[in-house]
Amino acid sequence: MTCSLKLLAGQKKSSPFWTFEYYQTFFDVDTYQVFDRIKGSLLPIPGKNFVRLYIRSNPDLYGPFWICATLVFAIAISGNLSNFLIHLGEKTYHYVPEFRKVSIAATIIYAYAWLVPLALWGFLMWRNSKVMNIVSYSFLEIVCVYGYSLFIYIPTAVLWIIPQKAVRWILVMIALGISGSVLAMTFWPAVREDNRRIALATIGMIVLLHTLLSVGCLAYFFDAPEMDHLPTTTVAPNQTVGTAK
Amino acid sequence: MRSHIREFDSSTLNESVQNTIMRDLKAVGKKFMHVLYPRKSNTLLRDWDLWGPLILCVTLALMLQRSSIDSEKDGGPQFAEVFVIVWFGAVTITLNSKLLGGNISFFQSLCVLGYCILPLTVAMLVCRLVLLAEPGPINFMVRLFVVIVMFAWSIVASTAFLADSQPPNRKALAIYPVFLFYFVISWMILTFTPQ
Repeated sequence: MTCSLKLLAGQKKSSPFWTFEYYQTFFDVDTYQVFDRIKGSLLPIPGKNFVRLYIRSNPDLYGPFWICATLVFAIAISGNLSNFLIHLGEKTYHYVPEFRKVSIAATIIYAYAWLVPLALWGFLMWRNSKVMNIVSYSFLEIVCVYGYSLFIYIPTAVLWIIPQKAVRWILVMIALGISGSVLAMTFWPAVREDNRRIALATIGMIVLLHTLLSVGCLAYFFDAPEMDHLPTTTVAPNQTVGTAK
Repeated sequence: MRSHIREFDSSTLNESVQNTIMRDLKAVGKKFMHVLYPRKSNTLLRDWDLWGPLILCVTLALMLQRSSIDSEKDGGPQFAEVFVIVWFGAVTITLNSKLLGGNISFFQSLCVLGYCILPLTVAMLVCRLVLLAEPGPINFMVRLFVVIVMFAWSIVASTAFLADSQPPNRKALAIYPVFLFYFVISWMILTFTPQ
């Protein structure tokens, strides 16, 4: 199936953009379809392209929007809970709900979910004008892939409550591995006709930005579980956690 | 110039202020009863009003605020933040359910979502009372239990009213944001700490 799905003007979006029906076409998914797409983002199989297999020229905005919303609150709430558990027992610690962090998390996650696809789409369109690629994606399909690829971070954020540095970094590796490979396998067919260096640089940039997002969230929202207080907390007292930071 | 039959009435302008207020209060009160004992009924949807949600939202936001003397160290939500979350959240959920193809009107959905905050407002009141006692794990467990029960009550109430207006193969997609909305409000209530 070597069809090139160019830009937004697909056959089904026939309503003008100022009507409500136009936007309804982006929410034309059933429950089982959303579950299928989420499952596809969790199981990257080499050779199976997420867009071709699951989206099939019906990109939706429901998944990306609500996955990002859930992720924002998951990170903020888990970060708050984890800090509370780490500092439990300290005499000088006064618990605050840290509500400001919700707005910060929302800005970061939504900016990532919209601006990075925009930049990537612009870049791919530019390369497309120079090198004829067989596969090209519309902007909404890229947004869709990015949105669904963020789903793995929701359970990861919840598990980051565990105040062990090693556990947290293992979780980062797993999440990055899964979602990074979904993204890489999706975009490799779009750049493989191109100059080898540019293709590899593009994929590398995608994975790098993804890494920055996850490591940045871990560092900003979750305090390091340092042992600078009496060992009466939930951390196992016989381990010495590295106090490098 | 008292008007007794409301449907044929077009001159409520001439009635006493007490009549007007009592009529609206009774309508709000009737809807509160419908939320507290949720059955599938159309009353909330048919005669929607936004007074109830406004009262509940203002009450909740006032109770979640505290006298911010140390406003830098204080990390809880301010009045405006609670207000924005409730109304912005309700509007987003309504838009979502309409985009998915639901046949409920915009204000009807806002009305239902606003009224179903009532159990959580009751939970906030109970939590504030419980917090007057001495702090400790038992204090926290009581608050946790109350918040969980009221959260479940809100979900059940809003689902009873909203579920029928969604296409059958998208019900879960429309209900999940409601779950997230009430979960966030419950979290704000549970993590409330006074000075």
